[in-house]
Amino acid sequence: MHLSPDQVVLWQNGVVKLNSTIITTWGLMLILTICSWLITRKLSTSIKISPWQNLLEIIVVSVKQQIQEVGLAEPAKYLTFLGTLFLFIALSNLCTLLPFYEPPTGSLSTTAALAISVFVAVPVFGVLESGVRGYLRTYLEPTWLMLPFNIISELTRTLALAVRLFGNIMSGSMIVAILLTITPLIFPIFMTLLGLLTGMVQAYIFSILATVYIAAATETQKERAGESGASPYQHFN
Amino acid sequence: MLIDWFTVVAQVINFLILVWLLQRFLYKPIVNAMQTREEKIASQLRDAEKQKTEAEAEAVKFRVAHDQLEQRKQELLKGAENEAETLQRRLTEEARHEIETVREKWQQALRDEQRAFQSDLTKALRQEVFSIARGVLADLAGVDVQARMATMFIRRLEKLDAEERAKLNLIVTADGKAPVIRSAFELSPAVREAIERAVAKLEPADTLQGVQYEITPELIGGIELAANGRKVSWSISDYLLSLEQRVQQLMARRTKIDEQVE
Repeated sequence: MHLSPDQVVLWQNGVVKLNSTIITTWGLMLILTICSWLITRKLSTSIKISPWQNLLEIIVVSVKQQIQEVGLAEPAKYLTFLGTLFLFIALSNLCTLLPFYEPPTGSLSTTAALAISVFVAVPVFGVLESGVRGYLRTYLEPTWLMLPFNIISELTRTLALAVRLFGNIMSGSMIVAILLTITPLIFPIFMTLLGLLTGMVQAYIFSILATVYIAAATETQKERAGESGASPYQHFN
Repeated sequence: MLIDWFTVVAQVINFLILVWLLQRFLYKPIVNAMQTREEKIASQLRDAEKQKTEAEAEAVKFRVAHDQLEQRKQELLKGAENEAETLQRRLTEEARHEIETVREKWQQALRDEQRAFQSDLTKALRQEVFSIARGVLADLAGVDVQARMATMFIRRLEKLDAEERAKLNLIVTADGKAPVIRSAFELSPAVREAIERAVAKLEPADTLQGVQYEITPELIGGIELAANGRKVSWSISDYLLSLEQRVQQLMARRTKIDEQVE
């Protein structure tokens, strides 16, 4: 019994090692890439399209809509980053249906890596949108007294992102594993289904929070320009 | 320790690679395809709009043309109807006229036939009636009747006025021939004597050359004194002729009245 797939090490040479998390992640990357390539290999630009292309288009359009709804005016800029976040986490959690599968999102290392990616992406997008000074000024909002709190908030929310996803997925897997030993029939199936639902919700929450953080970093300029309305950040933090 | 920092770094790199891969194989082609399709649809919609406008214009044009055709059709139909009506009226008139003519002819023929039949009937009837009358009177006329006939004849002679006597006289003296007494039967001597006496009273005895006697069956019954075309007679044939003339006059008048009525 192990808490994280990191503990299943298949090969190690000094610090460098190949554990279950990395291998599974590669597998997921392979699946995503191959599926995408297979479908987009022969895209139709006419009105009649294949069902798979239709599915992909629905996903892309939905992600764009979500980004737009959160408050980012140009969703195409953020589509790749946020869409990939969602697809990776969703697929990773979806595959918990498979036997002997351990989701990489059940590893704190993976969720931390994703949270760090968001932690870095937020200032990058903010700087790209508002410039270095413009972005840094957001830490002094609404007054300079808030600077330490803003910095703490930045760090803690990253930590929260990582731990939230890890906790949910890990706990789901753990509960199923424990239940299998206690009541091996029927009941674990329901728990798996519940885990599936939780996994999807977590994928959604993770990516929508990342969107909100990016939106908060890029929207500040506009707010200063006199636009009214609460920052989406305030709703989700 | 739940966090393995090597794994964290590896996962960050993995994630960045995945972002690049999906950008390359998923988002870019899909977004491009959608954009192309949207443009294509927009272009098709524009084309459709254009075609619709053109079609509407065409439809208006065709509707106008159709209306004109319809109007022309109505006019032609009306003209044809009028023509047909006129022709029908003319033909009816002609037919009526023809029927009238034929009827007239037929009626005329009928009238002619009727008239001819009436005429034939009248003639036949008349001939029959007179034939019967002649027969009957001829049968009845005998010697006993002669005396009566002679009496009637003599009375006739006596009733002649002066002018008639003069004419008779003139005729007698002019040709110098004896007057002829005609009768259907042989007259008895007594009757002859009475007649001669009556004739003698008409003329002086010296100028009278005598009297000749002739038997003429056509007289049926009666006696006739003829002198050079002039005659004085009393005979049944005279009565019958007179009757026949009267009947003919009546028939002629009747026919005239019928024609006027028609």
